[in-house]
Amino acid sequence: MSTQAAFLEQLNRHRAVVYKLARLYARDHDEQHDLFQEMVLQALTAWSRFEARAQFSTWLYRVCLNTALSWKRREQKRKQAEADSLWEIENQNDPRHAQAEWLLEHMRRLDPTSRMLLSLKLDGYSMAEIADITGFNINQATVKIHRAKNQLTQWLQQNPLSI
Amino acid sequence: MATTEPTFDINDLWKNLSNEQPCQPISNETLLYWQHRSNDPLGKLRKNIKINSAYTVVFGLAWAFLFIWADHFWIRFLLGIMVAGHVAGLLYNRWLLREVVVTPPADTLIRERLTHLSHRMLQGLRSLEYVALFFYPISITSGVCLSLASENKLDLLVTDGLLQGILLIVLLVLTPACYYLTRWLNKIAFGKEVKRLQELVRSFETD
Repeated sequence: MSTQAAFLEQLNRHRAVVYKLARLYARDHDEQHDLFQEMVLQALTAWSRFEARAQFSTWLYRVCLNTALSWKRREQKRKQAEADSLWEIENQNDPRHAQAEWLLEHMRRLDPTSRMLLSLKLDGYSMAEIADITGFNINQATVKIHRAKNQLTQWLQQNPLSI
Repeated sequence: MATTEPTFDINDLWKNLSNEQPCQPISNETLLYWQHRSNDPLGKLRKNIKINSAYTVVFGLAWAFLFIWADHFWIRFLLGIMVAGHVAGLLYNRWLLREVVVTPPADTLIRERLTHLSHRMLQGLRSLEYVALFFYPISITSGVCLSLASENKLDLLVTDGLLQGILLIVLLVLTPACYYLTRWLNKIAFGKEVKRLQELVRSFETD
């Protein structure tokens, strides 16, 4: 199997993570599509450095967060929406999709680093792993996650979930 | 800050989100198509440096042509400095592209990568500004010499105090003006991006 084929196989197994993080850092559909692409391409570029003994999902998570934080929005909108069929979402009519959108909308109001830490925590990473991925020390990360959760809770209480 | 328990679970909502994904797996063809559209934060700066290099080649050749054409020693001397300066500028741009304005791999520690990007971007911009500062006085002096030489009045530059005074004032006014103009243009082109990266780096330093 070629290197690129091996990469695609791993990536497609974890593409939900890439998709989720693209939605967390970009607002509209076009931007999310652009960021998703950039995350995939950055992962492909870094793929040769991936060590098999590391966990692919954690490695990919770091690549995606790095890309999202340094990502610069395109100044020009795309002229054509290519590969849109790729971007159709499974179960889009599921009410849980609207709930998820609602959560994203509120999380996007957090500052970028708090968003990053909270997403890692919600995805089940330990504080030590979070520190290892981001470069925050554990105390800083704990405080930031706590504040972000409180902030999110406060916002959600002000605008209760009515779905 | 005291908060009451929410009537929903953020973890559950997040889990719902984790189950959503684009229907189609990414194919090799799609990946190839995307590769032509990659956009990283230092890309614009790299593009500007390449454009700058192209101009350096064009102007360098123009100075070289004038160097061959000129017949006064001092004009040749100044033009020689200009040609050498342009060659040095080209080599410097090449070094910037290969060593400074390089995007680090995306799988490095997030804090380190952001610090690196922010630092390298500032370093690249400052380098271009300082190089520009070196070129302006020589360009102005060469321009004056050329116009005097075309009238066969180059000696005035040595004998005419008024002309020397005017040249000095022009140098003193235009050199910083051009330098600050370059800084201002860089600020317009890259200011927001640099500020955003610096803010992100700072957010790692506060609790």
